[in-house]
Amino acid sequence: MKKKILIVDDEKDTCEILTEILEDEGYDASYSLSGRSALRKIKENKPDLVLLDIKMAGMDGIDTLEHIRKSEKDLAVVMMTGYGSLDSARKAMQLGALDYITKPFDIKLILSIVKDSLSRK
Amino acid sequence: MKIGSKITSYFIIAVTLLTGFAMLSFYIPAKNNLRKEIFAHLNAVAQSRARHIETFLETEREKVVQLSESICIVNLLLADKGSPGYGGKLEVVTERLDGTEKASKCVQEFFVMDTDGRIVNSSDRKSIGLDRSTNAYFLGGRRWSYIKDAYRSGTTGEKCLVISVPVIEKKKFVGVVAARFALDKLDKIATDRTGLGETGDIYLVNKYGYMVTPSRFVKDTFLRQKVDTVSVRAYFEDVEEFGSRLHLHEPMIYTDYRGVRVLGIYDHIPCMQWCLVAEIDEKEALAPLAGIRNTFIGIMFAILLVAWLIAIFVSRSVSAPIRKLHKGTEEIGRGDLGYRVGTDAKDEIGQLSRAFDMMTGNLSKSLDELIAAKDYTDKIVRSMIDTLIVADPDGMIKTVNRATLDLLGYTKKELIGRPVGLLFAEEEEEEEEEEEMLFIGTRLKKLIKEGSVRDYDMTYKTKLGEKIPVSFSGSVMMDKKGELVGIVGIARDMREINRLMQREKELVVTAVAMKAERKRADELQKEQLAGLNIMEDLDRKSKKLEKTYHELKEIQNKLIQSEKLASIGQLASGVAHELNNPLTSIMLNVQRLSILLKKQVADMPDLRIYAKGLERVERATKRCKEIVDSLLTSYHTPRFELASTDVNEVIKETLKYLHDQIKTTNVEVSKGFAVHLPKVETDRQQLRMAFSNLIVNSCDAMVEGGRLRIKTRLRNQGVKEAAGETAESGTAVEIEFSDTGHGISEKDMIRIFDPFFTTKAPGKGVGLGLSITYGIIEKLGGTIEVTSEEGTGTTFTVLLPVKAQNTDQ
Repeated sequence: MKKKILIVDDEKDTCEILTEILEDEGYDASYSLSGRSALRKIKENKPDLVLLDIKMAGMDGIDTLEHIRKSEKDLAVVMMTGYGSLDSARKAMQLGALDYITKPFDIKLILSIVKDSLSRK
Repeated sequence: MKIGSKITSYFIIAVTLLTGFAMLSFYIPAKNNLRKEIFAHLNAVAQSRARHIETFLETEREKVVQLSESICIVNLLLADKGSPGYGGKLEVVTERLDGTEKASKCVQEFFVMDTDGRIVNSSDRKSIGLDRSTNAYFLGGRRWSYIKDAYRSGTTGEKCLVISVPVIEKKKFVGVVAARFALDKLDKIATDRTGLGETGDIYLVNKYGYMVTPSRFVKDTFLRQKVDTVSVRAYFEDVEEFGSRLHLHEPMIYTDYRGVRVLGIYDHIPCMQWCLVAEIDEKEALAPLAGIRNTFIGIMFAILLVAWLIAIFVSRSVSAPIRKLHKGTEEIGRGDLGYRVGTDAKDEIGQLSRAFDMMTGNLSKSLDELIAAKDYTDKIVRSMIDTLIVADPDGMIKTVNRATLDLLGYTKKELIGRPVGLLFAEEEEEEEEEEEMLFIGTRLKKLIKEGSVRDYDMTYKTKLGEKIPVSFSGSVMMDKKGELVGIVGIARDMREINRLMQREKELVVTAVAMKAERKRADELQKEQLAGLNIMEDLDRKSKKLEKTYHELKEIQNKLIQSEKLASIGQLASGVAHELNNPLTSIMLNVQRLSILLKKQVADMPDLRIYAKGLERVERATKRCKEIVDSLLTSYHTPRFELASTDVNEVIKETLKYLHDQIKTTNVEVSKGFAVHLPKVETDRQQLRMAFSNLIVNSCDAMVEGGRLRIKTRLRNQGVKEAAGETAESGTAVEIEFSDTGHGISEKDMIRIFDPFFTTKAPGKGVGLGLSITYGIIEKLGGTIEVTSEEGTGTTFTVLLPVKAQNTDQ
């Protein structure tokens, strides 16, 4: 069965290209453009992995992760962050994120992190 | 006293009083009734016994009377002894007596006496012929029927009683018929104690006060046991008063012949002048009373126990929420504002605890807000560039901000609680001294009066003794009542500005002087007295002006440099953040397109040109990423951790770290380190970064190879000398990096510390190295100077101040 991955980022372009890349690799990828819709999608689709951007307008990645942790204790979450936001990334790790990846990143890096995170679960 | 205990005790006292009262009002009538009943019972028993005895005696007497009236006995008594019919008559009587005796169970002997008292015939043959003329029963029985009181028989030794009846014929006394009874039967009747329980006793007492019947308790009482008790005495009084008339007897409680407390009653047996006494031990008689008392006490205790339990329950249910509330207050007192009493009771205490919870909720909320507000203020204070000092009304330092510590070289611990004057330089002039005493004395009064002062020129004194001119603004803090609680002062480092102003002033002076000279020259020209010496003078002055102008320019540049650095840094990191997202998108898209394209290139070689294009875009994107990364690294302002550091060591470390990189170039590095170099108070890591940038720059400037010389030495003239300060500021460590590279052109010289300024080939560097180095050295309190000659080489000189105590070592 295909592994389900949910991408959460408020930039549509980033979401789309990540979805395409992950689909090329044979994952079942989908995306949400806000933390709130991501929470809904997690409830409906039960993804195996969530790629969550920290810096989002409105509900940011940390808030979203806190909400996710209320219902999904074991869901694998990998944070996406800018270089300067390492403090938030560290906070996300404390909230149980599996890993984080600093933007900008390339295909090789994201694929290896996705693969690692899914195998770690 | 706790509320619970109070409720319990009041409740119990009330219940005790009520039950006590109720119990008494039940107990007393019950006790009286019972007592009456017991007495009545005893009375009834006594009366029944007495009547029984009377009946018995009467029946026996009747028998004797009957016998006395029988013709055969009269005939015998009238007959002569010697007469011929006498024997027959005697026989008839014998038969009669024997028969009667046999028919009567308790009669031991029936006998007949003649007028002389001699027994003429008897059912007991042995007694015939005996003379009983003096015996009471003969004497008594001569006139009317007589019962001789109980006695012990002289012949048989038995207890007996004799009833004698006269035999009268034609109104003439002819003899006596008597019957002797054993008392066994009477004893049996008398001492039938039915209904008197364990200790009941009934006995008869004769008119002399001696017991006739056996006692239940004492042996051999017959006519021996004197009974002199209250009841018997009452009986005797009774006999005197009433005789044999019927009257009521009240039972009484007294001590019986054994000395035991008894409940007793007496009755009369008039025919015998006997007293019948019925007694029962008080203990037993009144046992039902004791029983009823015990029952009542038991009930009372049961009620009290129930009352106690109810009281405890009630007090608990009342006091438990109060205790919870109490605990709540304690918890909150301890600072746990998250504590909730959480009672859902609907009573007043419930309402109180909910109100209490609401109160703590509000308290906790406002505390959070307060903390947030304080946090916010703290952040502002921390991030202030100017120095901030808060002092108490006595002029003692309460707190200072980071900038103050950085500027003056103290730690927070060293300052708190010390006088503010410590931070300010003492001046010789009295007037100036007064200026410094803003925090105390008359100046303080003025400050309080005016509320604030603005832009006072004052001088800070650092821990090392260095003097720093500052522009000081202060204001007083008042509490609600208008009382002085402290003084807040902000001071700005005026060194750069003063320097700039100083130079400007000089420039103006020189310009004015030059103007004057020119005027003079004009005049001279006009007067056609153009002298060479004046021309020379003019030339010299002009040169001086030029030099001053350059100096001014340099200082201006430095000032601009540091400002540029700060603002560009902020801008750059902001921009870098924003670039991350589009860069991610570009990177991922380009890479994906490359991958997709590569699959098709094999079939269509023409597509290779697109693949190449995409590769270039990818490379460009990666460079963008690097630039963004380095921007963020550079302007991510780190915390400086100062420690006593050996600069020579830091240079060695830096070279070791760069070893591989230097090896790829043709550069030869030589070291000229001063021995016994004093340690400087600095951040090792930042210093290494600064040195590293300088070394890499030098290497990059020597593409064809060359020599980098790193020298360290102690400079005593003071680190601030170059900046126009007095030389007494202390010593500094000088580190010189001189290379034999291509040098810096005069045009580039003013821009080398600018961020993003680079002369390197694209992709080799983004132009941040020197700008970062400048920032670090400045923050460490040092200076950096550069001299360069195009084509020959460049020398960077770094000066780091040494702490006073370190130079002494």
